[in-house]
Amino acid sequence: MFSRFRRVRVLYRIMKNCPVFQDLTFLEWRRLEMIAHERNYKSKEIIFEQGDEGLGLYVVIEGKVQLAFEDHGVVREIDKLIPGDTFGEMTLIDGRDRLAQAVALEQTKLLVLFRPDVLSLIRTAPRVAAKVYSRLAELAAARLRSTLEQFKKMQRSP
Amino acid sequence: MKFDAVSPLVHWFWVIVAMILFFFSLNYVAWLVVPLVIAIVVNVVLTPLVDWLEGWGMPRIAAVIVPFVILGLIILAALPMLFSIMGTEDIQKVLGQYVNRTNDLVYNFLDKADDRFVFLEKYKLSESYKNLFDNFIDKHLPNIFVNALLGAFKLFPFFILAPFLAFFILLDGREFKRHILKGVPNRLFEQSLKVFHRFGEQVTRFLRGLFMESFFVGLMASIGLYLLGVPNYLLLGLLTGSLNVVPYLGPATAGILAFIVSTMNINESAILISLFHFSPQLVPLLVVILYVLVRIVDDVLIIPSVMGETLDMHPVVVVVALFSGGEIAGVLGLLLALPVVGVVHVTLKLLVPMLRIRLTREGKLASENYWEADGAQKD
Repeated sequence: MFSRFRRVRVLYRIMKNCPVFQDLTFLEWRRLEMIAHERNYKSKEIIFEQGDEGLGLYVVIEGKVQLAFEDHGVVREIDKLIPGDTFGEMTLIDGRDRLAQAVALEQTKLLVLFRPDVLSLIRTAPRVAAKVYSRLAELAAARLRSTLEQFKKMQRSP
Repeated sequence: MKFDAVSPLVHWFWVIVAMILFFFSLNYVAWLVVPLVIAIVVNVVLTPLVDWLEGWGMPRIAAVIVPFVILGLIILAALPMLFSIMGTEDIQKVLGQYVNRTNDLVYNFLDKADDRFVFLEKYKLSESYKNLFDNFIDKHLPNIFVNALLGAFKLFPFFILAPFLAFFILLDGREFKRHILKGVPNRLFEQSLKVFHRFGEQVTRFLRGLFMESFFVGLMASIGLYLLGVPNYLLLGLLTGSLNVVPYLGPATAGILAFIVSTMNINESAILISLFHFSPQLVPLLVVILYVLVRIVDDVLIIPSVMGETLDMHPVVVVVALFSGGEIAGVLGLLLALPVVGVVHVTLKLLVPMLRIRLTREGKLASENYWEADGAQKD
């Protein structure tokens, strides 16, 4: 019981640094933790592949994760993720297929939030769901802006 | 991911096999299975309410306790009502009257048939029926009565275990799910999450639909019987609702029971009778019409709207399920036949494709070429 409480506290400290979860109070985070799954991955183990059905959001708790996408047989790295980073946020919004693949680079511990579980929070804990989804919308908007900026740049310099 | 579709014949074969195994197991573990089934149904019915209460900021445990207390109060309030409706007379006496009444009806019918049709005369149908009936009353009825009483005592643990289980499934159901998923290997994790979720969704929809259907059918029958001035309309409605779970046989049995009751004493100040001034003799006929109407409304309106596509079962499957359930596990088997077939059907439909996944990710680490590809190597 007590060790579980401590575990939740440790997780909370990590989650507080994620942009998506930064608004949650400790009690609200407890509500979210109830639906989260903890998974351990070995080094080089695939977490999900490009084109898989997108089922949820992952948070890196320990270890390192590489995001990459395959383009005509060439694998290009998008990002390396460290504890506190999240990936797969967009699947929480639209539930579409994965655009990239994720591979554990070392012994890695992840927290998984399954999309239907998070959606069920709208009924059981609307305040938590609203906080998470407003941050997700912000994130999506920011990415859209940066994509547009890049597009403009490309247009200017053909 | 694409899967080869399973042939419906093979699918239904396994559904029936699984169901028969389940009914056999009932002979040994009915004390556990039946409360569990009741608990799951209670869980499915109460979950929306509990979630709603929780959404208003109530802690989960309070949100679970409140509906239970309300349900308990309703049952406590309903029990004396049900018995007072039965009247001050002994239940036994009333039942005796019903049995005699049925007997008279059948005897008169056969007697008339004997008179009417010459070719039937030599069989003496009414005489042989009378012998059969008297024999039954003397020898078998006491046995049946005692067995029924003993059976009711045997049901006692159900009434304690079922709410207990329902309470903890409602409270900790999510935890159970998480613990089960903990044991799933990484390569199957996302798939299992999905299958789990879809399974829960479909079983929930099916059981909730079944409950809603029974509820509305019972309600319609109760209201109809009340308007027609049939005594014990609440009890009959309750019976109609619960028997409605048994396809084909259930509604017919409930209709016959209501018909028999309506041939006895009718409340002549009932709304419909005083409104249209028809003779109380007409009521049994109207009861039959009522049950046919309820059946039609159920088939045309209620089932399509509450069950959706979950109930695409062939009548042959349903009848086979009914017969095997009734044969192996008696009344319990009859009542559980449809819910069990539905749940097994949904389970197989979801599980078989999952088990058929070629385990492409089996122990698969990222391939060596992947690590040689550019950009990915430097760590």
